[in-house]
Amino acid sequence: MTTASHNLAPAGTLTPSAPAEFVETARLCFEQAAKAAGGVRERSFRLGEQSVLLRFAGDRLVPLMVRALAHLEEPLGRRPDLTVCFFDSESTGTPMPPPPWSKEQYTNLGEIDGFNNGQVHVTYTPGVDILHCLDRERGLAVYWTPTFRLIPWWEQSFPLRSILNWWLQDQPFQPAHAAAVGRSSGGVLITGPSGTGKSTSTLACLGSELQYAGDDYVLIRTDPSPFVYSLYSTAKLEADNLERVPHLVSLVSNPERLDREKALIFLHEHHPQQLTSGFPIRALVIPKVTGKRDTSIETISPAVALLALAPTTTKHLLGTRRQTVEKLMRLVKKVPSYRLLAGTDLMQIPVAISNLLDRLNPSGEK
Amino acid sequence: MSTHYKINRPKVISEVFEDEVVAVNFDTGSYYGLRNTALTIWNLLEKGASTEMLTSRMTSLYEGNAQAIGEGVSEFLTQLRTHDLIAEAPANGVNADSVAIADRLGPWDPPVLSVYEDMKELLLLDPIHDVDEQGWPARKPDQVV
Repeated sequence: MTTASHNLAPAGTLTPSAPAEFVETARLCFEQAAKAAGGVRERSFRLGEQSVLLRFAGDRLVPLMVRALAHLEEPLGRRPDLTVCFFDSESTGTPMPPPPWSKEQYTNLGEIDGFNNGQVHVTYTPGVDILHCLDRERGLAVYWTPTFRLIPWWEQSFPLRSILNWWLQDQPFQPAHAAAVGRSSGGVLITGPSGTGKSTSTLACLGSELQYAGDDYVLIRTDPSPFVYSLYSTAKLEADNLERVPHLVSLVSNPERLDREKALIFLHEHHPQQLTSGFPIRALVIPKVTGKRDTSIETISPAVALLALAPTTTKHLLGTRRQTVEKLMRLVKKVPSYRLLAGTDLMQIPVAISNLLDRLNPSGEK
Repeated sequence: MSTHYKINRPKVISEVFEDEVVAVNFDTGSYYGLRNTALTIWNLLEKGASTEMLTSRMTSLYEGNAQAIGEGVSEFLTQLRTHDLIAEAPANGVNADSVAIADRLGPWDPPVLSVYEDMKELLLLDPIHDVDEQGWPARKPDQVV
């Protein structure tokens, strides 16, 4: 293995510039890894209102990271707002130098106590061995893992989730644990903790007039007016729920692993015409599976909506809780909130949402 | 002697939404919903009311047994302190009677603090104990992704 040159101080003797130096060291390692792996592979994506350039050392990580973003790919050549460099040590033969922090600085959640500052954010996710580091001033992030073999299945369903969250923390954009369906004139954000019917309600809209912006994580803009941008074209369902959407079973990408993974569908590969890059948010919708046949919608307070949206979002997006909550508070004050009492006749769900959008959009624009 | 409290800012933020307050404790990652009598108490605490003022004002605002109201207020304040949402504060000269609230708000119901925790299970995760020769966390042989 080759080793990148670096000038990091030993663990425990951090200087104020150590976090930024670490990101630069990680970038240099990436460049060495790319040389060793036959060059850099670049792909560019339009995420929200920004161009994000993904650079890969060799081919190994490319399919894992770009498949869920394929519907947002743009031609190379645009000046990127954010550049993310990906490499793994096994396929490139390039190790990452020792970290400049001690093992005692890892928190339960993999953040580095006393290391992150307003400019640099680093985490090492315990159990899955993935390092994310971002220098916000440079618009530069590095993603490293010892081996591509251990990247968990869910990572390819929402690549860049953490990095985008840190990068956008001071902007009116927020990755949110929510789904979104609607028309070009406006749609709904569907949110709630896992297991409350969010994905099933969203996937029930496939084949309807409603377009699909995501079923797990989407990018919301709070100001000047609420808007939702698609991030990932993936749909995820618990295997037990597949029987409720039999028309999607043949589209599942991982049928042989459903005993340990959620069913994963890359919708742009099957329903590209139904995907949208985004639309104005007209309402927040919190689903509740009733077990009854029919579906209906009732008004709920913004507080109920916030308590459905915020905890499930901040649970997995670490390091920005205050900014995230403040943005979500602004969002729920700007749009009305509803409970979707989701019935077993799934065909009624898109009809109920379309009727709601008609009521919220009296001009009749579709 | 009557105790004064304050909302534990800046680690706690709260926002009023129509008939409910949502509070967030950023140290613990817990969210709280307060409605009805809990909302009224929170609003009075925001103004700096003491325990004595709270009990007096709640007794005048709600129909119910004064002792039960006093005990309910006291238990609720204990809950708020347990969740670190409020802290003792110096007396501030506030007269709770001056805080504008509708005259009579109906029958007394004990205040409820609804708790939503986003971090609890994550904080139970096993932290990183061991590192390899390069200083990066060592994967345990039995770790399964």
